[in-house]
Amino acid sequence: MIGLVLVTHSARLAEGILELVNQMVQGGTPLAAAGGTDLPEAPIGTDPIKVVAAIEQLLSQDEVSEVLVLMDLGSALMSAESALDFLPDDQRQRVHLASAPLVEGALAAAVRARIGGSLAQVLAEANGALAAKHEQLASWQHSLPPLSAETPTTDPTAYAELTIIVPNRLGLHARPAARLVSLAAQYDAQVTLTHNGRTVPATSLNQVVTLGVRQEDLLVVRATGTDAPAALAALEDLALDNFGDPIEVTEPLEIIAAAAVIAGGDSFAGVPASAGTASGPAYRLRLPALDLEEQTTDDPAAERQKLRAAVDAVIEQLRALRSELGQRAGAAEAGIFDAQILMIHDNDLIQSAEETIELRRIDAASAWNWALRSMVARYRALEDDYLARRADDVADAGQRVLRLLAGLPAESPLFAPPEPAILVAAELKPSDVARLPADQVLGIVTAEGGATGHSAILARSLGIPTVTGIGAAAVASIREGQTIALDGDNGLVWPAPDPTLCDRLLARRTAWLAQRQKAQQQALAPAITLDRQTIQVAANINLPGDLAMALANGAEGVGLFRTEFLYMDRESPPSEEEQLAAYLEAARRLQGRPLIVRTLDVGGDKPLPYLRYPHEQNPFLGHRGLRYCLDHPGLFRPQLRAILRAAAQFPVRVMFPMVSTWDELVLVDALIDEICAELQTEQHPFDEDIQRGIMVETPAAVLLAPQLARLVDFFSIGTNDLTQYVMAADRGNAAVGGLVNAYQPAVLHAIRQTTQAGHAQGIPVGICGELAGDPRATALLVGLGLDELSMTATAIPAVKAQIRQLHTADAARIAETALQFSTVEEIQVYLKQTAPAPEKE
Amino acid sequence: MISAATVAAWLHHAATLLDEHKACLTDLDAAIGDADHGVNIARGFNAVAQKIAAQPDQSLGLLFKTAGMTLMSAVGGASGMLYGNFFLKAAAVAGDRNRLDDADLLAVLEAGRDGIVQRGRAELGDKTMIDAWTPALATLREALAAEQPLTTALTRCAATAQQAMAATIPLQARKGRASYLGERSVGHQDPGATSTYLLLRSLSETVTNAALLTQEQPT
Ligand SMILES: Nc1ncnc2c1ncn2[C@@H]1O[C@H](COP(=O)(O)OP(=O)(O)O)[C@@H](O)[C@H]1O
Ligand SMILES: [Mg+2]
Repeated sequence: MIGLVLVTHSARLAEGILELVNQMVQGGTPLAAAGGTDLPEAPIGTDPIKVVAAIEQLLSQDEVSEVLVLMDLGSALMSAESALDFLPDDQRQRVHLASAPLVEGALAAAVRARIGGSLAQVLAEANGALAAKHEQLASWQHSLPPLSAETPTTDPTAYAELTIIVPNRLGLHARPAARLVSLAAQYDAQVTLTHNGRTVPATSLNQVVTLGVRQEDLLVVRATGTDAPAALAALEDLALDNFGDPIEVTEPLEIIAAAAVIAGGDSFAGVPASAGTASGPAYRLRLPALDLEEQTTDDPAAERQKLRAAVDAVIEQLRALRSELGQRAGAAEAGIFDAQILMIHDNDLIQSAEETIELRRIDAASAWNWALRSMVARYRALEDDYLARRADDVADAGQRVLRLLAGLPAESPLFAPPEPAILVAAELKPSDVARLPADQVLGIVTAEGGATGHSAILARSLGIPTVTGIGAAAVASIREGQTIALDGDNGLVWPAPDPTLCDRLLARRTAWLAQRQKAQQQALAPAITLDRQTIQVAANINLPGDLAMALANGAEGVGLFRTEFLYMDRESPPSEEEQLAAYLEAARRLQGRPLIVRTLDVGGDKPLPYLRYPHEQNPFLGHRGLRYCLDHPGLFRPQLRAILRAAAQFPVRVMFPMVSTWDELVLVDALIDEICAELQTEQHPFDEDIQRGIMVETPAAVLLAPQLARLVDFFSIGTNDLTQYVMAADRGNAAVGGLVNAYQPAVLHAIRQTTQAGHAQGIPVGICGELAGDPRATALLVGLGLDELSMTATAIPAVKAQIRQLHTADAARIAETALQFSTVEEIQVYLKQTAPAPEKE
Repeated sequence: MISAATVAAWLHHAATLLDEHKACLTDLDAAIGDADHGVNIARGFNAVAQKIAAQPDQSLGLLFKTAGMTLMSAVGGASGMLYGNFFLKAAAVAGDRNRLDDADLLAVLEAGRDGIVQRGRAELGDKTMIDAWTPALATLREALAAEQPLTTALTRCAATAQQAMAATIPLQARKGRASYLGERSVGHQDPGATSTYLLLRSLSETVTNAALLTQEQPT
């Protein structure tokens, strides 16, 4: 008798057919089934071993002469064929595979087998099993529309697909993802990305990034709609272009890592910007979190409207930031703002906030806060560290929306770590540094900048060990909360310091603090040389509030009050009265010590948001300092009036920045005369004989010093700007950082020339740049004949200590010799050898 | 020349790689099949990896046979039968050898590929894994004929597989489940061709690593 084996993907289907067949043949035909697999996690499928078993079971029955195998489709065919391969020859010859329909075929074959048909007869029956069905149903065929060539078929290109193997070393991180999202949005097509079972719209940056796509992952891109083919083609090009990231060095991380290996194995090399060492957890600047009170609303539509408007406004803010940074640092750096724009201009995020408004009937800010928090959590949960760190970018951009909804001004980020920490930032604005809680900051590490940026200067004045210019990638590689160490004397940052290194740095820090403290104690005494000459040591301040620190460090006056800080972080310039109050407060605190007020020095690297600057190709060579003020009397006059009025009560002097011509001083004098006449009529007390000085910081002022000295009462050499202008090197550009060194012989000659010109005219010459606060330069500066050294407050004690070790005749000889040298190296080596160095730094 | 240990390492690496990509393979299968290719194939190769770890030091014939039999029972889908037959045919050629020189390896792989054709009867252009296997092995053959080192030849072979995998997108399926979709299978990448690429890539990576290791510590 012929036996039947049924091969199907489903065990239950096999059961069912067996049941059906047995009902007809009443057990009269030998039957066996191989249905499904033995895999609990994938029961649907086929297994040739089960087929072999079924066949063998039948062949082992004496009554069974041959076996016919019926199967469903796909792998069932293959399993059946494979089973034949496994059978020994003699058995295989007794088995035949049938292409008959499974259910009908099994029924027909079983019936025929039962009544004793040969293999050929049974097979023929099975193969013909559909004929009866056909016949019976033939009358229905006409009611179907004819299948013709015109049958509309789906246009295959309308739904197209592309598989990308992501080449980027860091996976689809924010920037490449942002490029993908913006590109996908340009086409009239619905584009989705599928990765590890998740499908997301290609137009949602948050969703794309939170897919967590890593290098080498496969990403399936599907597009429907009119532009689908074009969209896919464009995306393919983008992927081939490494999603716009540089190819060879997929991320600068690698270069930095390589450089670090050269630098000493395990550290990033940067610029030593402020002395001292630190180790501790790394933290970033944060926008301050808002206390939100959830409010219910009757008008969800209005809240949604508000939300949209706020998001739009923040996008504008971010665009402005992007173009500002783009000009200063280049498009690549500014790219993060593009990503932030996409992160909040994200349908997923906005919709979820809007749904919350509708469902919970709460205010826009609270709803946004909910949506934002869950989005940030999604980023944080990503396995990929680099991507997880983008959570901060989302949070930051989202906070802006919250502030806007809460009616608060866009604020700069704050540093508020849970414990004293090392501040890690791409770049610090002076206003950021100015607001730092000094006791919470162990150290500062920045990606950008050299040793003499304003932020570095501020850090030095706060006594915070700082390393700048370690590069964006190095900064990005540092995780929030990770323990890092830095050495501000040598410009090194260790991303993963070992404990012994931390101990060593700690020991150095303790010694450094002790030495600083001792010097501070002596700081209050005047600085008198061994031959009993007194050298004035003054402080540079930004705000009257800095005076406490300055006086505690032994300042004998203020050689430079940088008034631009009065103008920062506000919506409009300070009024005359406000300024007057600030100058009077500073002068009062000085208790009769002199106060030199420098007029507003803006432009260049120090823009003010409410002042309109035309775009300048070269802001450092542009409309800044006195140039700008003379052209904006509306801005300048209130300041001059306030200074002149303050001078009526206290020894206040005025100083003008960025002077390069005689005419500028003539104009200033005329303006002062005019103002004095005004003040006279208004009956405000003022000092028309106020001492006037200029910053000597352009090569023009140095060369013209003999003439300029006739127009003013004092000179103050601003070595920072002077150095960059003499050396023609941008102090914010780490690449030329080595040139921006005030010990350059060219700069020292400029200082000497200025001092001689001033003295020839009988006016005092001071110095208020960084160099003044460098104890290694003290002998040199005294030797060059400078009358006053004005510096960042914390430098005063050490400089005074140096002065006390000096003999002016020695100092003069040292200066004379130093100026004979041709290179900065020779000069620095020479000064190191000759310095009295009473307490080693 | 590659040893049985390297072949075992290949199968382990393949299991890892396929497992890493299983979601994607399943996604591809979801578009034109029944959304099981990745899970199936990953399960199958993981089972293979376990089996061969439990029976070390087998001849290559036995190693491939174990792989083939395991795949046939542990995958459930068409690809299990196809890859299973690949390894069974490979086993027949490898016999009781313990190492394969370059020509042997090519012969083993070609026999395996023929096993897939024998079982699935797919022709080039049917949008199946054969569309990856055939050009990839042609590249391997050429590269070896040009006396390139095995590592280079295998790298090029995997690269061809990768291109071929992408080249299945515009094809209309004429074999396997995807053929039921007719024209609608156009525009999607074939999951089986994709797993074939991953298999060849893991082979190339394993052999390259093994070569680096022997260079480092010459025996
Ligand atoms: N007849 C065939 N010949 C060669 N390869 C085939 C054949 N049928 C299917 N395949 C390959 O198998 C893949 C599908 O595998 P899988 O999903 O495991 O099988 P199933 O279709 O049984 O679910 C297809 O992408 C194709 O490459
Ligand atoms: Mg499938």
